[in-house]
Amino acid sequence: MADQAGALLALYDTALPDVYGYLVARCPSATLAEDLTAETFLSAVAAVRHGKVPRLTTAWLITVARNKLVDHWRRLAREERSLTLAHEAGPVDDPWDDVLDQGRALATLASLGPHHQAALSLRHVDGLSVPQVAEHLDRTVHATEALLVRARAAFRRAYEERGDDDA
Amino acid sequence: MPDPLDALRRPSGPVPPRAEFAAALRRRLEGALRDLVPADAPSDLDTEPAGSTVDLGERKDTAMTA
Repeated sequence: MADQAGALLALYDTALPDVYGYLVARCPSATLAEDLTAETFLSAVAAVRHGKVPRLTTAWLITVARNKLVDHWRRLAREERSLTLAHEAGPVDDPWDDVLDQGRALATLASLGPHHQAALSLRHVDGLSVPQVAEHLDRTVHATEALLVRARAAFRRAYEERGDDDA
Repeated sequence: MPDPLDALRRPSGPVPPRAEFAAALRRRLEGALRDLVPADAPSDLDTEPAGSTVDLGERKDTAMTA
């Protein structure tokens, strides 16, 4: 256990930019990315204490970070349910003639509900397979496929709207 | 017609966080792991502010009784 504690501290400096880089690319704000980065490393401490670290590597820390992100989306979804936010997305007929803009795509992603953000981030940003996404979200593969269909439609609607707003 | 979802697909590289954040988190980790790290590895764990100890010119061994 002492070996792993020392190893975690030794890994910290090199792993921190990777963990933070992973999270900041998927979070709407740097503040949230910092919070989740801290949660990731503190969870690693807890895992070391309980002897539950399979192999202390940056890749393992990224997996912990991904779980923290999913937990965040779940919390967000619970809060949204309790607030029953209504989001209306009107139909847009304009063709996608804008140059694809990664910033616009990320901003669009951040504007979606937490379930849609989670599904699209895991599938399209992380590049996980549908079964892997399903595992992270505690859903069946069938339910995850259906969620992805709805999430993609919501993303495309919001993407077009965002383009209109920017014009 | 290009799919805007493709714009999301990209590898995420390392990004250094704010130095203040990195230092504060390191201190939290060191504090949380203090009782687990051997006493003969004090360099990463010495978080006392400068000036709070008197440098006697030799290392003080603080025996830990587990």
